[in-house]
Amino acid sequence: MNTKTNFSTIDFTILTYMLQSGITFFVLPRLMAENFGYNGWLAIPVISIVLLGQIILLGHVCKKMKRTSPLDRIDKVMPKVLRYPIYIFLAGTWAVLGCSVGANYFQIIQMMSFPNTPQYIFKGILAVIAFFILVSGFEGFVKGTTVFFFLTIWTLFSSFVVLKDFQFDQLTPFIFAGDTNFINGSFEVLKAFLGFELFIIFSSYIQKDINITKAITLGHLFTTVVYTFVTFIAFGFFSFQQLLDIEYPVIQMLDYVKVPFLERIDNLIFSFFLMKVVVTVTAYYWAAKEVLQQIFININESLLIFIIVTGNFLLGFMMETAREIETVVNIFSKLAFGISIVLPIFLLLIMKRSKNQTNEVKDHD
Amino acid sequence: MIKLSPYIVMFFILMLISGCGADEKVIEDLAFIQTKGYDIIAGEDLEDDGEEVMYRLTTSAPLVEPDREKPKISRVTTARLNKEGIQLNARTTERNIVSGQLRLLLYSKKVVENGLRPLLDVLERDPQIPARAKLAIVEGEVNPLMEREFDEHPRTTIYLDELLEKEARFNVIPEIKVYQFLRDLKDDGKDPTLPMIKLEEEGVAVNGLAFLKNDVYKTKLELDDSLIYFFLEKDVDQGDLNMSLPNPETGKNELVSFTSISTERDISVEKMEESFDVNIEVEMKGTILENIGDIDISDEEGQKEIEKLIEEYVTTKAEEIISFTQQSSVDPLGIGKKVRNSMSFKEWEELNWREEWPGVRVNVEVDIDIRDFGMSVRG
Repeated sequence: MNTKTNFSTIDFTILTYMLQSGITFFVLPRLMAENFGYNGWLAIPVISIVLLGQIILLGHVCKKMKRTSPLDRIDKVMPKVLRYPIYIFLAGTWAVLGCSVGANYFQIIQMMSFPNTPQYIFKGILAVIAFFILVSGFEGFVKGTTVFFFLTIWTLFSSFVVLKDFQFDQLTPFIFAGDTNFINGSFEVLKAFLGFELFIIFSSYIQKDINITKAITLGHLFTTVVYTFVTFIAFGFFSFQQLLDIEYPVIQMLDYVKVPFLERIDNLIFSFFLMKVVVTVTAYYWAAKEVLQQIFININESLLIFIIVTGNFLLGFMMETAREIETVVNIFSKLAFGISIVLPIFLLLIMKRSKNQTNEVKDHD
Repeated sequence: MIKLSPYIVMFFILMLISGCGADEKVIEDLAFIQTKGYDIIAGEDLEDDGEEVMYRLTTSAPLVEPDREKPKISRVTTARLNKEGIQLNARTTERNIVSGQLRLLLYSKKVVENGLRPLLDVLERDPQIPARAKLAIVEGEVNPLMEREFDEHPRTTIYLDELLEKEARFNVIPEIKVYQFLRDLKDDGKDPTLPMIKLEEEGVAVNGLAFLKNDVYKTKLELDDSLIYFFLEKDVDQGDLNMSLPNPETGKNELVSFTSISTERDISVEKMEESFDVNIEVEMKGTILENIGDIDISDEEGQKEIEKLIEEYVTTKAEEIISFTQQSSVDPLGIGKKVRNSMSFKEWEELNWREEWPGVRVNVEVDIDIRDFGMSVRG
């Protein structure tokens, strides 16, 4: 089932970055201020380094699996009764998370530019785009992500424009002072880095000469640099209380950017962000599709994709208000984070056991 | 080609979405408000007796049609809510009035004396309102100023906008946009400031620098001293000072125009037993382009003498400004930020800066380098 195409490491570095940097990016400076207090931006690199351990574990598992599908391995050791509920859980978590990320984006863009346009138009558009990308296969998805990356990366440079109003005085010498909630804050950062765990599903599509650990690590480090830099700027650009009061500090910073030919650049840049959202959403749908294929073996792939996309489109109607979406994103990103830890360890155990069994068989022979 | 299809689909969808349904905005049907002005008409002296504050909202939106007699739509109404006012103002026009291109927010002094807070919520909440819109206080009423036709300036907003920009460039007033105002308002070590303008015979003139205590107007600084105020607040890269320096030797005044001034400011804080000592060092560079007096500035001795006189003049003025802000118990210079950054978080939490500030000893040290004395070598 797996057709391996020639990708390069950079494709997957970019994919990691595109998967990780999502909507949370726009709220991250406030979340850091809320949960880590003054100079909360410092927590981002710290947590990022901790996450590196998990990435190395993931890369190790991908390597051990020798580009076979992790799901085939689970199929071999678990009876249907046990594995089907797990598959449903995995597919459900990933699909709903993807759906809620899309809903979150459209809720913001609706607030900013299209207050009277019904949400189903946006969600319908996303569904159509996601469907076509998914049908075009893994190669189309990865190469498209690379194109999207180059179409959106320039937006980062706009953050340099606000440097003129950056004040070191605003940063203060206080570190993590004020009302803090480290546990909640750490989770918010983890949420912002989520996305790389899907590589465990992707790995069977990636040819052997690519070092997955290296690709993810580089992408992760790039995301870390971007997050830390932009959050650092926000802490020096806004006064602390102001930062606590702003729902989307990064959008507000963009609002302040003025270029000679455009008075308001924030709407434009935020629209470009749709491409990143498309990447994230499609990746989660893709993962859900892979898992469901193990259950519905005989179903036509395009039909399955259609069902997933339509199902999520309909699900989107249950997430209309900002509060609903936030709740769903919070619950399902927690679940996804759990999966990102448990799944690799579980696979490692399976592989160890099957290796032992093979050895036993050999010994027996 | 088939592989490309999703992206082609996406491209077309993105092109099509721009004309989408209820939020379709045709530029000919819109009027972009450029200036909003607020006067207060009820509850002027309200002591929180439950009476709602009514604002008189004047909106002015330019029109680009060349054959119109008047190049703008100007409307006035009374309302409690900002949005309500805009809606009422739109009733008598064929256009949809929007705020996305707002340039200027004018508040009458009375509005600010009553507290700006109720009018700030919309600035923070409404994504349409640009963070770059400028804020200013109008001495007197806002409405007559906005309704007035200026022969030389058919577009009042552009006139006011550029006036404020120019005066800010020469460091006569600060340039305060929505972003800066909210930043300073919410900083616990600084009080916000706003420029003040006034309607005069020939046009509109900037006439002061307002100091606010939180969101409420407290007092104003006359513009004669505002450049020296900026020496204390930030590094200045442009400005002119015209001084009348008392010469103790002759008892007469030396008239000096010190121009193209650039300054560097440095603030240090020392913790004393009871309070703080704040030291502000200002290094100034500039040129003398006009000098009427007895001091011979063609030789080194005279030049040093005039430097000393300017130093004394600026130091005295600076100290006056600081004690003026202390007496009004406002900290527009942001000395509180420096004090905050010199201590631990716990100490800062325990400190009531508003109460502490009037008692703080501030030493000002001015160091002047005169780059040159112009094209003349005459004494």
